[in-house]
Amino acid sequence: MSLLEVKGLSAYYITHVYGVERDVKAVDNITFSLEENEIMGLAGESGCGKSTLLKVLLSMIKPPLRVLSGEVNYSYDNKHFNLLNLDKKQLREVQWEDISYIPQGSMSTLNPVRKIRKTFEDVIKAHKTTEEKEEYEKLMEEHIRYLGLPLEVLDSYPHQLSGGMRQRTTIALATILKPKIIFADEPTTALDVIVQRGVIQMLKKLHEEQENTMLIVTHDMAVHANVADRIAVMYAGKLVEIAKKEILFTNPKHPYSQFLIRSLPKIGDKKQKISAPGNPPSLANPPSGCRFHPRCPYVKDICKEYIPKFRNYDNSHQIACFLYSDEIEEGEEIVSKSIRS
Amino acid sequence: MFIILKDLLKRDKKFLFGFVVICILAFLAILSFFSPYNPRSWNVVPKDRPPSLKYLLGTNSMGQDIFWNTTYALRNSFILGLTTAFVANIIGTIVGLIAGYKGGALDKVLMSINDSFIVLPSLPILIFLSFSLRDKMNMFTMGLIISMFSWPWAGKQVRAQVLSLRERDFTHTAVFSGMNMWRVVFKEHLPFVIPWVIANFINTILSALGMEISLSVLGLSSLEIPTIGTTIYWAMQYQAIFRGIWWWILTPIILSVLFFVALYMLSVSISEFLDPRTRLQRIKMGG
Amino acid sequence: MILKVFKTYIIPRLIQYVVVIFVGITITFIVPRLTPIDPVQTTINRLAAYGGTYMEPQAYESLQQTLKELYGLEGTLLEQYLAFWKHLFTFDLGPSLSMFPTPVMEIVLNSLPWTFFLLITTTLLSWIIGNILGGIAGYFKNKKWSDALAVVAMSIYPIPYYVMALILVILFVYVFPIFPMMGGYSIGIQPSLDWSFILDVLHHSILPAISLIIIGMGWWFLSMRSMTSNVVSEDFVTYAEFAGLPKRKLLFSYVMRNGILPQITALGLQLGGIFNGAIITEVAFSYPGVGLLLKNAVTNGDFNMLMGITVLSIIAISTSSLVIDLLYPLFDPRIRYR
Repeated sequence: MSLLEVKGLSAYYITHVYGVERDVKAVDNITFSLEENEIMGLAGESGCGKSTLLKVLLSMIKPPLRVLSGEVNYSYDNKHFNLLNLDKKQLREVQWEDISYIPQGSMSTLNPVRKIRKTFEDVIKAHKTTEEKEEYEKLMEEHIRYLGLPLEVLDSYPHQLSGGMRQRTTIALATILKPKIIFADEPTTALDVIVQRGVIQMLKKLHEEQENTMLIVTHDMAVHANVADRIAVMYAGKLVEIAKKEILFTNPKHPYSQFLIRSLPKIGDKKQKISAPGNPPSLANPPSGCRFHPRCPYVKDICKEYIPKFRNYDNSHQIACFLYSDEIEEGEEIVSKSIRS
Repeated sequence: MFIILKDLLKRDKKFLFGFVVICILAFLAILSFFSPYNPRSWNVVPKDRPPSLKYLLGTNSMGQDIFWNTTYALRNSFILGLTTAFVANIIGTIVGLIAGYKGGALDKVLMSINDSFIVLPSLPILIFLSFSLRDKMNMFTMGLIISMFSWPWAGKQVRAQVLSLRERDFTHTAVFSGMNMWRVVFKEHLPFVIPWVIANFINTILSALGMEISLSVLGLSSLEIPTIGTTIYWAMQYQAIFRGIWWWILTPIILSVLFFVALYMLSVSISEFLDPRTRLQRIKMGG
Repeated sequence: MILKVFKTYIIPRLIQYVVVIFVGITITFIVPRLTPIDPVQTTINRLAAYGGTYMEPQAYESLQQTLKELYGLEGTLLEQYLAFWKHLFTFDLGPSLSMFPTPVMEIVLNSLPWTFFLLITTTLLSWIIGNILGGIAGYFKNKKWSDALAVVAMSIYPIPYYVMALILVILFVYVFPIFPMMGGYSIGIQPSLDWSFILDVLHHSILPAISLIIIGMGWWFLSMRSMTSNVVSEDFVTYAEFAGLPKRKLLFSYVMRNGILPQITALGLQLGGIFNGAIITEVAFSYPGVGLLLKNAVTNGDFNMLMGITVLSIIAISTSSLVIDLLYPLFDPRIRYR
């Protein structure tokens, strides 16, 4: 049984302001699974819905975001549950201790008027109420040291640390209770390359030594190349391909993935790079049929009308494209009509 | 523009309340032009009569019809408020624009002076000023005096806007493509700044009227001119509360409460409408 | 190293303080000299109206001269200006004209404690209570009670201080005669430090205090509520929520602790307005503080008193504002450490 199984998940931002109704279909009928102990990378352009997907997988759902359908099934250590069905109390036990999150823009995720030490204490106390103060201190200091951060970090305020240091501190915070699954949203964005390397090394170390599972969201393919076991490609709110890293990089099957991979610079390659023509679609008003069809060089008539089903191409390789199958996704029309009522 | 107005009226109860009340008050103020009595004359009607069909709001101890007197008071309030708001905001906008665009030492000096005016206690100084100018007091002079302390808020706001606009990409583009700085200001920036100036405008009216009441109550304005403040002054002089002439004292009280609350509601709803953050919040609540 | 950073904040603030006082006092100096009214002549007219006696030309001359000196109108403008400052540094504000020859300073010092007491208690109470309520209301912004309270606050806050005072007087002195209408203490009672006097004072202070607190609270409530509702959607708060922190901790240590910072700065800026409100409220209740002094000075044409109170209030407000701004780094570590 997979650690995480997502079935038919749809979550839209539904807004109704000044007479304008709008659904932003950020997560549309997504199905995939995450296996224990793997690192999966989630790739895609900005605005394709990656961050929203993470939020739903963590149950950080606030209006105007609404989950319309689907299941998010976790299975580990004899616990099996659908995250979306948990009440607040149950969520609290799961969040941070089992499932943790390293948010995007970790620059501003620490309370600016509190010392880092206090923030750490707050988090630990929220989950383990039985320990003594010395135990917290020991836990914090060990963990900080283990991750290669200087101890002074604990006694500083967030603004006194550099961006990279803050990022790594947030990672330390997120992993202090040794969670089973870690979701990271753009952990290396806005950092310089040297610090990026430090962050990636830190993540790798945590993965190896704590034997956890990770889902890393980033548009930076280099990070995926470095860290991921499998890579999932998202486009306009839908998954288009999932494959093992080596296979995706050498032989991408979906036309969008092909553009993604081919646009990566290679040392020594002087050929001009081609990126996908056109612009990413608006999630509020996506194209009919396959969302990529306006930009696809292999577009067929069927692509303009129907959405291809996300299905297995072969072992642990899934694709949604009419080039490889004729199966059509069902149920999509019904979902969007039910919100209006 | 009108679509926004209609939209605000429909959605925001505060705006609706403010707008309706102000319209009613403005109507009453205009009515003053049709008043059968001269507001400066005394003893034109019997004194101290309670409200009746003949004297809608009763009469006061000086022999004046309170209703018609009040229409004059409202008219004067509008004049005062608008005068102060215009003068103060024009000064403030100019100061803010200069400080924001020129920057450097000029900015520091201007802002220093600007902030000084904000911190200084305005009432004692204004009392002092009004005391010295007693004989020449009318609505316009009072407006000018009060604007002495009302311009800094506009100055600060406009400067903040300018500073943020100056750094935006479209400004750089305009300047690089050779557009003269003043044209940039007027064509590109002013449309951004104006909505804030409107909100500020209403706030200035509010504070001006408040100040007028404070000054009049101390006897510092021209006491023959009917305003909300002078009405209260005379009512207190004649011990209206003690003598049970409640209609004389309640009229300015209720009127001022309505006027001020309405103006404030207008100002709040407009600022909320303009503030992108509250806009986002409204979007989040929807659906 | 910390001290060095302090200088980046403290010194500019001190300079601003000096500028404010300088600007304020210069205005106070210029005002009477720019107006077409000659205070000397006005005073003489007043005296003539009261006394109606005929004066010898020499007596008249010397009276004019004395008054000119008293008003500081001797010599050129520059000489007057410098003399003005010199007097200020020796705390000499001249004699009061309606209570001649008692010095203005003495009279003001007598009334100061009353105003001080009223001002400090009402400001602190309204700031603290208003901000706490506002913080909670802002955290729960969608709840009905939060909106309802906001509407109430919005209907009270804009009411001018004097009008609010009148409303309270009508309600609680006439309709329900619970409180006394005016004064600091009942007529005929001798001020002393025993319990009954203190109770009497409190009894008299309640209405003015309520008047100030209600309006003050309205402003702090609304601004804190607005501030807090913005802070709630900031990254570190959503993250802390996800981390499972208990609501109370979130509210106080995360949301309010950050939301209160601009409120502290705002307090420094609002002091002028709060002072204005206090003195006009004192007038409404004939409360024996600086406000009443001001009113009497206006009524009696006591020029020196007016000038003196203006100058003193400028200094007092700017100093208090300075103090608050200097305390700010204690609350915001971003200023304390760079």
